[in-house]
Amino acid sequence: MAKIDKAIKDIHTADNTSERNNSVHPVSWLLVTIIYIIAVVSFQKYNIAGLAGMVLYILIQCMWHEISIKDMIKRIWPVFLLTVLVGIANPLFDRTVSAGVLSMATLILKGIFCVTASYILFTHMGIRQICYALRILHFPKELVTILLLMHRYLIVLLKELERMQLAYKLRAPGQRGLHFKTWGSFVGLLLLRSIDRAGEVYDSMQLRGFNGTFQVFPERYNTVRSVAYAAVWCIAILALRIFPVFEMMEAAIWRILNLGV
Amino acid sequence: MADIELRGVNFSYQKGRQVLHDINISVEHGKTIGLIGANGAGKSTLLKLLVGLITDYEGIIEVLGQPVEKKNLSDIRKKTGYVFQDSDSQLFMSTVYEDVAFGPRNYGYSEEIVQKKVMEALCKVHIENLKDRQIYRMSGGQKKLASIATILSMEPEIVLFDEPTIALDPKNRRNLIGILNSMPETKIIASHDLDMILDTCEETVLLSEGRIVCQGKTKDILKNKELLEKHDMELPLCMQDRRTNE
Amino acid sequence: MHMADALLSPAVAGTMYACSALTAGYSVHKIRLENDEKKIPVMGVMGAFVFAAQMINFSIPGTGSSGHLCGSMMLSAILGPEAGFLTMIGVLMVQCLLFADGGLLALGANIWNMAFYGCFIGGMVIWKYMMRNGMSRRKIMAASILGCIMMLQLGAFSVTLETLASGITELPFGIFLAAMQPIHLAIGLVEGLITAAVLIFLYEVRPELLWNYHETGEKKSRLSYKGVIAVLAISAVVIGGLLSLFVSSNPDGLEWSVKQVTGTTELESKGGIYVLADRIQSVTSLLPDYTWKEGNSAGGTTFSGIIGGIVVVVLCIAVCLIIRFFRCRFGDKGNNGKD
Repeated sequence: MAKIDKAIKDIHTADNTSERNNSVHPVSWLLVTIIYIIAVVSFQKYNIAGLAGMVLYILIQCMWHEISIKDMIKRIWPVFLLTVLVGIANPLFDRTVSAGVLSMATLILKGIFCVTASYILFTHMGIRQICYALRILHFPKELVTILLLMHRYLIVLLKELERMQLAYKLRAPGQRGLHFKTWGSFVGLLLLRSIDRAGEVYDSMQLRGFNGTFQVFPERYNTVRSVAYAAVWCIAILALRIFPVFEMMEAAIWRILNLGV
Repeated sequence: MADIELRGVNFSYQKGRQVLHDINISVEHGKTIGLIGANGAGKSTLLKLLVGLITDYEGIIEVLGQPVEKKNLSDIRKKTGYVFQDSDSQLFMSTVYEDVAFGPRNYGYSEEIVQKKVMEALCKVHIENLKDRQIYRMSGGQKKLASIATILSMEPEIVLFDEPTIALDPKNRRNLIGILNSMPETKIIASHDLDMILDTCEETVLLSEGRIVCQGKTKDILKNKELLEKHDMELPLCMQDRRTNE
Repeated sequence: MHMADALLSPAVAGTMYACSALTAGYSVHKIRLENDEKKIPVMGVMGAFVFAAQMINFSIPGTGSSGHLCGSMMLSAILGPEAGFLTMIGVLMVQCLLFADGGLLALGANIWNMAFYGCFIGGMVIWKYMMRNGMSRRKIMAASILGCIMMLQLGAFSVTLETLASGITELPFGIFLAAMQPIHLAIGLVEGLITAAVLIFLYEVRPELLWNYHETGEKKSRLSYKGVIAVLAISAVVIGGLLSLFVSSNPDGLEWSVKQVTGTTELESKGGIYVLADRIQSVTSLLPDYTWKEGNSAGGTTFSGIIGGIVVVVLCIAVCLIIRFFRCRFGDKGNNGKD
């Protein structure tokens, strides 16, 4: 139940936030996020100092767009656990224990940064923006149509499922999940309803001249802002990737202190 | 010539289970016809036959002078709108605008004309303000109006309604009846809501177990308590009231 | 299980994107050839269905825990492998882009691990092969279980390979594999049982919805129970044998996995793992490219793999029998069974 509620809430959040700020082209967003993730992932496994500099992107984005830290931590948690699980063996098997700890910390940081970057993207793209971006990137029309329809019927089916589960729970108190004797019929019924629904949807499309795929129509974005956004961030991310900002800052501070003395 | 003409139509989903028997209906241009009958009487099937969602029937069906056959379907569907019982099946795009624009776009109109048509359709059902609303966030009444707008944007000559007032609250139902009465198109309304039929249709066809039992002036049919009860229906509420008052 | 971005290097992620994109391209091509307008809306709604079905908790009898569905095998048994694959891509993309579940970079790998094997191995090879002479409940049961186990074993194996190839973890191949495969055997079994239950329900209610269903073919021949067991046994032996060759770098791995499956939890104590780890560490740290450890005859481990395979087969058959027993005993009262 809670999971379904959360999914429905997520869809609402995505739609809300994407309606708010849509002057930057979705392809710019996608590009910057992917470059950031590749930059983060490409760090050497002991280069924690360099990697730490990548936090700047996240900090600036969060402050700029007022992204809730609380929601973000909820997102990070599962990936944090996963990376810890995979990395936990590093201290045992790496060259030395300290090298292992270092590589584990790098892995965990990478995990956190990547999820956060994806989350920032998620707060800026609704389904319309995503489909529009995918069409520009020449994704097959069929796939974009599937995505649009999926988004439309997610909530319908999730609510259907919620009702079915409630009806089930009210008659089977104290059960943790679905009893195995009802696996087939419960999911099967949901499946049949979905297929029937699909048939009706298809009828409705047919009656309005459907010819195989949807057309996604251009939306208006601010070109200058979009290009500027992508350019500035790409340069900044590459700079962060190449120069160990924190080490350089430390060195600079020492130099200034030395000069002062 | 009649807009819709059915002569001797028989239909069965499976062999031996006939759904419609010898249906003869003729609907003049601009008329509104009510289609009433108990659950499973064949109302929805009849509507589906008219737009060619089902094609393997026997007899003659002509819509706007064209027989309902595979080769004429795109022409007929362009001029015939079908409002589904479940708005969630009718509205499959994410926002109202996208959905109402779906039909005109598929018929290849330019984006300006599409926009004009969409706005006109939305104005006709008074939901201009819902243009950019996500569909899953709308109430049942709003969805019904939006699904009518998706049909109106294609500027049809005939509109078919399958249970339009189902699951609407009294206010939305009133509003819908007003809109139905303001539409100049030829209409067929299939429903159990006999009060609504009384308010919107001059003529009515009573179906029972796939046969036309009675066809004529709405007032005459809906007054006939015996006839209605024989075919598993009741008098419209307004007439029941009048009786008790008398 | 979704892969996270952090577990992949850009090169590996790119490779997996390329593999998935190629398969997707092939599938789109196939779908276009079919030229069935109705298929696209069905795929969209089915995608939403899979998404919803993944949220259901299935309580696993006798364990107190609950299982979940991935759905690619089920999808390809209904829509066919190509359409199933595209639909799963849709599901994974929505999860990735709209829910920030599973990373952007890892999307290619996730599509490969979670959709490819289920649709093309489970659907195109196993389902199609076993249903070629018509369907029956037993065949659906066997194909679903076999398909799902294969799909999750191969998926888990890919996750291991991808992670190791990315140089993320220092965990030796064998240990990693030994941790992944047995868990996914259990997950696969549960997935298989759920898939089988749903598909059998569908078969009884509306069989025409299943992929490759021909009404006439049904009476022609029925795969005997023995035949099903033979297919199951042979595939399990082959998989077990092959896998154990891979696991041969760490002979303890398979033993451990077998123990996990059979339920005797005589897991080595912490000290044991440390000693083991020490031993392996001495090898791995010398050789940056991890090579097969010498001194293990491939024959010996293959033998132990076959024993593992036999255990799997026995387990599958036992579960089939148990379900059959329950169906005969209680099921037939409730549903108007065809069988």
